[in-house]
Order: sequence, then C-alpha cells, then structure tokens
Amino acid sequence: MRLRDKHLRWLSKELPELVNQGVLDSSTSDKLLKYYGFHEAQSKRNLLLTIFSFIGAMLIGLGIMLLLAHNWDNFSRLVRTLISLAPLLASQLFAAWIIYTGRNSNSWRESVGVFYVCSIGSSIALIGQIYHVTSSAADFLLSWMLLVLPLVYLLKAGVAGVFYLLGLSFWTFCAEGERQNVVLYWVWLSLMSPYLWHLFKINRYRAQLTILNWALALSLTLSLGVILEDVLANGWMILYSALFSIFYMIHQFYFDNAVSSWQRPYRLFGTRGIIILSFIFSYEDVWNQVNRDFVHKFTTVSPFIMMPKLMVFLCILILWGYLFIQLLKRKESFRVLFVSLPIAASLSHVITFWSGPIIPLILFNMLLLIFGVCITLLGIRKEQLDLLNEGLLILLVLILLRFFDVDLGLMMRGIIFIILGAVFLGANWFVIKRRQKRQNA
Amino acid sequence: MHKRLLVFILVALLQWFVPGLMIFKYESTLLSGKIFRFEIAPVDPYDALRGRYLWLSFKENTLQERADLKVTRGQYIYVMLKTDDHEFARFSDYALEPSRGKNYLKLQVQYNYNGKIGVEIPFRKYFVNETSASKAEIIYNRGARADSKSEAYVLVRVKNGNAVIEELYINGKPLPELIKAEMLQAQ
Repeated sequence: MRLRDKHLRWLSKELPELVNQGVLDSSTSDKLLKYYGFHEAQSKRNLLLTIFSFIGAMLIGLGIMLLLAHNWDNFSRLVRTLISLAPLLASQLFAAWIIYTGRNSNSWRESVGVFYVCSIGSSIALIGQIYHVTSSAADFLLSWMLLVLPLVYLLKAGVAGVFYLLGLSFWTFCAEGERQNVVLYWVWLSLMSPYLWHLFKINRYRAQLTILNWALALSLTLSLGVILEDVLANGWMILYSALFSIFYMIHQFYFDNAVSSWQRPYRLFGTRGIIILSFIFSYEDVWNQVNRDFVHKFTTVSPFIMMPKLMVFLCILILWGYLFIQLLKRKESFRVLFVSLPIAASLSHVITFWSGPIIPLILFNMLLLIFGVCITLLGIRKEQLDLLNEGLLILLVLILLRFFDVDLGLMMRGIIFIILGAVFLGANWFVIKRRQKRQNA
Repeated sequence: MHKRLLVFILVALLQWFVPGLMIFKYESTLLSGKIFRFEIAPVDPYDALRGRYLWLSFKENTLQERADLKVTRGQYIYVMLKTDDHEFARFSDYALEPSRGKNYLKLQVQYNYNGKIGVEIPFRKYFVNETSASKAEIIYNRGARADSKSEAYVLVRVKNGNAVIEELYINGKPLPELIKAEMLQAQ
C-alpha cells in the first residue's frame, strides 16, 4: 500500500522515535516502511537525484567547453594544452575526494563518473586537434575505453561501465574497418567481468547490475556479427540464434525472479531476438544466399584470421549446448522448443544446401505459429495480458506477412482483418473477465 | 580506503601518461624535427571542410613499387623523404624497417595497382575554429584549386617517422593570418 509522500516522511520520522521508546522493534519498523512503500519511494527519489545530478554535471561540463571553444584561437599552444587537460585534473580531484571521504552516494559517484569519462576522451581528442595529429578512430576509442575501465572498479560508477561496454561495440565497428584484430573484443570485455560477477554475487537484481546487463546484452548483439563477419557467411543465422537463445536461458536460470520488466534485459533481448530471427528465416530470399556464400567464404579467408574467430564461434555454441542441456533437465517443453532455434537454423542450412529452401520455409512458419499459439495460451492460463498480447501479436504479424505474400482480393483481406481484430479484442476481454471473476470469488 | 586511494592515484597517473606521451612526442617533433613542405593538391570544394577540420589533399601520395619488395594493402612501410628543386617534399624510396639517419614517415599502403603504391598520409586534418571554419574553407579552396596560381603547402616537422603539421601556408602566409585578415575585412 502506498502513502502520500508527506505521510511517508512523517512516518519515517516517527518510527525511529517509537523504536527508541520501545513501542516497536526495529524489524517491525522496517516492515512498516516496506509495507507503505517507503523504500520504493526513496529509491525513486534517489534515482531522480542521480539522474538530475548526472544531467547537471554534463551541462556544466558542456557549458565550460563551449566558452573555451569560443576563445580558442586567441590562446597559445601551451594555454590550449593546459585547458585541454584541466577537466581531467578536475575530475581526478573530485574522484579522489569521493574515494578519500568514502562517499557512497549514487548521485556523487555517477555524476563525477560521467564528468571523468568525458574528460578523458576530450583531453586525448583535444591534444590531437591542437597538434593537428589524430590517431585512427579505433585506436582513440580503445585508449579511451581502457582508461575509463579503472573508474568502474574504483569509483563503482555504473555510467563508466555502460560507456565501456557500448564503447567496445563502437570500437569493433571502427577496428573492423581499419583491419584490426576485432577478436580482441573478448579480451577487453573480460576485463569488466570480475566487476559484473562481484555485483551479481551481492544482489543480482541491483539497479547498477541491471543497467550493466542491458548494456552488455546490447553490446554483444551489436558486436558479434562484426567480430565474426568474414568467417560466417550465412553462419550469422546460427550465431545469432545461439546468442539470443543464450540470453533467454540466462534469464531463466539466473534472473527469473525479477519483479519488474526493466530488470529482465536478457529476457527481452532473448525473446525478441528469437522471434525476429524466426520471421527473417521465414523468407525464401534468406535461404537463397546459403549456397552462394557459404563455400566461397570458407575457402577464401586466411586460416590465421579464421581460426580465432572459429574458436569464438564454437565457444558460443558450446555455451548454448550446456545451457540447453540444463533446460532439458527441467522438462519445460515449450522453452526447450523456443531455444532450439540454432538447431533449426543448422538443419535448414544443410537441407537448403542439398535440396533448396522450401523445407526451411515451412519449418520456420510452423515454428512461428507454435510460438504464437503457445504464448497466447500461456497468457490466458496465467491471466497475463502482456503475454497474451505478445502471442497474439506474433500470430497477427505472421498472418499479415504471409497475407502480403499472396494475391487476395480487397474483400477477403478486409474480412481477415476484421476477424483478427475481433480475436484480439475477444481474447483480451476473456482474460480480463476471468481475472475479475477470480478476484471477486 | 587508503589502499583504494593509492590504487586510484596510480590509475590517475596512468591516465596522464597517455596525453603526456602524446604531448612529448609532438612537441619533440616540432622542436627538433626536420622541416618538409608538402604541396597541397586540388580538392573537391564541397568536401574540403568536414566537421571542424580541413581535409588536406597532397600531390605527393604515391610511389613506385620496387621489384624486390612487394607490398600489399593495409601494410605499413617506411617511406624516405627528400626535397625537389622547388623545395617540396617527395618520396624517394621505401623499406619495411626504418632507416637510421634518414628522414622517413611510417605510412599505410592504401592500394597497389600496376606497380603504383598509394599511401595514406597521416596528417590530413587541419583543425580550425568553428567560427572561422567557413572563411578557412574559402581561403583553402582558393589556394588549392587546380587552376590557382597560388602556392599552397603544409609545413610539416618530421622526426623518427612521426610527422606534425607546423602550419598551413598559402602564398607564403599562414592560414590563421589570412583568416584573421578576411574576417577583419568582412566587418
């Protein structure tokens, strides 16, 4: 039950006094605060304070930079160099002060963190500009990221971690274009893993870890294809099927007790990824590429480039296999089917190579139909509207996509749309009524 | 807490090391590097200004491949420099290792076609202030046009394979001076 803020504030002031007078014990006091949503409200206030501190710090930093930029030409090289390094010094002094005084407030750590991250990048970039010498984008990004990484451990600033993870993705794009060894992405990523593991052991649903999980899932999704690009040919289908299945299974095994949807990044990436891939695989054009590229890539890429990438590819498949076996032991047949996409993609490759794309097309359309129906039924059974609508949406999109593949008259299309709309509305109404009936009983 | 602070101080020093090393390298090159004049090639007038820098184009950007030393795209080579009769920099030879006592640049091979090697010049960006950027572009394009009688070049200091632009000159005058004069005239 939630109280208004002023009542909550009154309660939070009164309770310690009651505990001191022996009227209540401290655990009852905590339970009362939790019952009335005090921690939730405080958490929201803290989050707001953190966000506003972050925005304030960024605006101040940008304002100072703009003022300096206006008078840039009038400064000598020495003065410009000193100005370029001043934000770095200032952010280091702030950070040292936070560490020395032991301040654990999120707003302090995150706002100094963002200022520090920007000052590292700006100092390197500005020095390059002053001397008209710039390194490649990949080298600049990598230097920046590696210098930011210690802030994650020392300041425990989540923003530095997010920046590091997403920065690595940008690095892969630039490094691939500059013919650098992008397999090193895994080495750089592993430097952050002790911190993630540390947070996971303390509290896997903690806000900072959740945000970092979002960033990690996004980073992996963006970078994997780039890293393994010239080895894969059409192997990206198996790779991304495995990646999204791994995300889904990680959620099931380690984050299944998350209360709110924002605490489920792996579930979101996993489910959406699997569904979107299934839709992509339901098209003939995708399978028509298989014969042409597969053999060509395998025979033309140098083994020195291919071997490390192939090892990474195999490691991902082994991880998928390990998690898949754990899921099999749970005997949850729908979930097992859901994460079997790599198997379906691999089989489809082989079948297409020998006899064309027809069987894979039927397979993936059937899979989508099964996914849609099962998720819809699950939504009805659990009386969860979001699940129900997710299932119906899959069915709707499947029908619409196939719908536009065939020639049907306007009247027939109109009738089908009306039926689909009625099914949507009817299913939602049914679940709502059922829920109300159960609550009234 | 003090242990963490000590570690942080070490990290902070490391973070100073990167820009510090850059400054040391560039200042050392500017103070004691050999001067070379690189002649600017004509540019596409709509592409000269990218963001807040002028994209420089140089006449000297290719060399002949040696029969005994084949190179491939993406490979780094050490290109020796000399000056011609007009005192502009020219590429004389290349090797896979730097040569002691000679002035050279470490350049990346962009293409190798019919025995002609194209190399990426590392000092192609000349940063300008945003407020004077449009003036800089006009002056630069005027000086670098194919039919221009202007002499446009970049003064570069070279030391141990590193190159740093000292200034961009058009008709013997540095670009910042020309921009200032143009802006005063416009007022």
